[in-house]
Amino acid sequence: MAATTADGSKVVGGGEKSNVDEESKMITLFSSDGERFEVTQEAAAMSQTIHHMMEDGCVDDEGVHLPNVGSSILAMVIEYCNRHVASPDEKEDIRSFDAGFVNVEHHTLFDIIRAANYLDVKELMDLCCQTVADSIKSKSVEEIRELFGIVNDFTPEEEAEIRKENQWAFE
Amino acid sequence: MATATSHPSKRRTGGGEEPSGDRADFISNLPDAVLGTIVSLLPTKDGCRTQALSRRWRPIWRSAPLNLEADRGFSEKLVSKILSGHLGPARRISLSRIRRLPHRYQADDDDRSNGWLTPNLQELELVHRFDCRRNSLPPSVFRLAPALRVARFGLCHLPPNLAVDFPHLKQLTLHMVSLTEETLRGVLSGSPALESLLLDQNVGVSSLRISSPTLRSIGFCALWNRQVVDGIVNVQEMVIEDAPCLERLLPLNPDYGPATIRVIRAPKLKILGSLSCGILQLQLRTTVFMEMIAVSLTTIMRTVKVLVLDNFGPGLNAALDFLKCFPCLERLYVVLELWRVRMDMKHASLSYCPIECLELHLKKVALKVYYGEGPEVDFARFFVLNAKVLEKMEFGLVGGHDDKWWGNKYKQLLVEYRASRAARFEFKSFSTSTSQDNKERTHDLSLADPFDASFLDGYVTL
Repeated sequence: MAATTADGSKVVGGGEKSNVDEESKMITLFSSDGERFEVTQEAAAMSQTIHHMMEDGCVDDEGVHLPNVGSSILAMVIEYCNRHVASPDEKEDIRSFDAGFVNVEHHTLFDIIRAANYLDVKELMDLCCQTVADSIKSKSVEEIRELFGIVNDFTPEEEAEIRKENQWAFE
Repeated sequence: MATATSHPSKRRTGGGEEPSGDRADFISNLPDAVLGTIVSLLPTKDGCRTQALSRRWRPIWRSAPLNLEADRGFSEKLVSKILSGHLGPARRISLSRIRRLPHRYQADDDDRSNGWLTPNLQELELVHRFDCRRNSLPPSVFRLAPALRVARFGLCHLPPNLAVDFPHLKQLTLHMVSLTEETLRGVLSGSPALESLLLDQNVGVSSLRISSPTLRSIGFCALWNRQVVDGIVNVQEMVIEDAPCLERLLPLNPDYGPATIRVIRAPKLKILGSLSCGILQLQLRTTVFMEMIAVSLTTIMRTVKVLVLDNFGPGLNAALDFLKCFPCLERLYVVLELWRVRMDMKHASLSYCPIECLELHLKKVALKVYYGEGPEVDFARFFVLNAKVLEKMEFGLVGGHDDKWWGNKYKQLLVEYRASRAARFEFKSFSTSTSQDNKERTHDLSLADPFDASFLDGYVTL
C-alpha cells in the first residue's frame, strides 16, 4: 500500500508499481482552459478526488486534467489547500485567512463551492457553505431573494399556502 | 457531481413578480445536495422558510439533513410535527427545556421505530426543563446514533447500567445530570474517540474518575446551589486516573468545588485553570497544594504552559511555588483576590534560587482586577523586574480615571527597570460584562490558549 510520508514524498511498498516518481513531491494539475498548476502532493491530497486518483495509480506523468474547473477558480482552491497544509497548527492565522478567502462576490463563492464539491475538498466545502448560510441567516424571504437574485415563481396562492403550512417558521 | 463553472447570466420571468434587476440568480444553479448542505446549516425557522423562496427551493429543506433546534418557542406538538413532516435524515437535534420528550421518542428500547435517531445524526442535545432525578432518556439514544459527534444531555438521570455506544463522539457535555461512577465509566468506555468533556454541576457521584485514551480537554464544576436537598450527593473529588492525551484541565467554578483535585497520570497536561482556594487540596502526582499553598513540591510538570489563578489571595510566595512546579510556564493569568486581606507580601528572595520559568519561559502575565494599590503593586512589580523573557503584561482595571491617574499607575511598576527590554505593558479598562463561556474553553480545541483573548473579554484597551 502506498503511503505519503510527513514531507510529502511518496513511499511505495515492496513490489508495487507507482506512476509517480518517488523523489518528486510535486504534481501537475490542468484547468479546463488548459492552464498548468504545480502543487505539492500533500496539498493536492486535500482533494479526495485527486487523492484517490493518486492512490489508484491513475495519475500519469503528465498530471491530472480537471475539465470542470477553470483556471481562476483552480488557482484559488490551490491557494486554500497550500495555506491549510502549510501551518495546520496556527489556527488563529488560518481563521483570518479563511475569513479573507471567502470575502468574494457570491458568484465566485458558488464557483468555488462547485469546484470544492467536484474535487471533494471537505474543509473548503464546509467553509463556503457556512459562509453562504451565514449570509442567509435572519433574513426574510424577500431579503434573501433580493440578495441572490432569486425569482419568485410561485403564484400568490401557492406562496400563501406554504406560509400557512409553516406558520410557526414565519412568526 | 460536476457542473460547468461558467454560465451566462440568466433571466427568468415567473408568475406574479418582476425579475430582480441586474442580479442574476447563480445560487439556484447549485446542485440539490449542495443547497441541502447550506440549508441544513441554517437555524430551524430560517431553514424552513427557504421553502418559500421559489419552486426550485421548495423541496430542499424537507429532504436536506434537518437542523432542529427547539427552544422556548417550540411546543412538543410542534417538534413532533416537524419531525414527522420532514423526510430527510436529522443532522442535528437540539431540544432544550423539555418537559416531556415528545411521544415519538418514548418508544421502548426494543422498538426500532426510533426514526429520529437516524444514522446521520451528528449533533444531539436533549436538555430537560426541571429537576433531574425524575427525567430519563430512552436508552436507545445512547446506542442508535452511530454518527454522533457532539452530544449534550441535561437535567436527567443516567442509570448505572447504561449501555453507551458512540464510536465517533468527540464532544460531550453532561449538564446537571444525575449519575454514578459506574455510569461515567460506561460513558467513557463507550466513547472511544472522545476529545472534550464538560461535566457541569452533576450530582449523584462524589468522586469523578477519568480514564480515557483520547480525551484532550476536560472542564468540570460541582453544583453551585448549596441548598441541601434530600439525598443529593455532590461532587467532592475529581481524579484524573489515566489520561495520556489530556492537555486541558479546567475547573470551571473552583469556589464551588470539587474540593479535591487529583492528577495521577496526565503526561501532556498543558493548560490548568482556574485554580482557587475553593480547591482545598490539589494533588499533581506527589506535589500537593492545600488551599493554594504548596505543602510538597516533589513532582514538577514541565508540560504545563498556561496557568490561571482565581481569586488569588495567598500572595507572591504561593504564586512562585506554582511557578516552581511548572518551570516551563509561558502564560500566567491571575484574578486578584477581591478583599486582598490575605496577601502575604514577604518578598521572595531569588538570589540563590532563580526560578527557571522567570528566566527562560514566562512570556505573558495578565492581572485583573487591578486597582494599583497596596500589595498588588508589589505583586505586579515583581514580574516586571524579574521576568526576563516577558513579552506582554496586561492589566484589567475598572473605573474612569484621568490620564494623570493612569500615568501614576504605570510609573509605580518601575517599567524603566524591567527585566525584559522587549516587554510591553497594556492597561485595559472594564467596559462590559460578558458571560463566561465555559463551553468554548472546554470544547474548542483549535485555540492554543483558550484564555488568551477571553481572560480580559469585556475590557477595552486604553
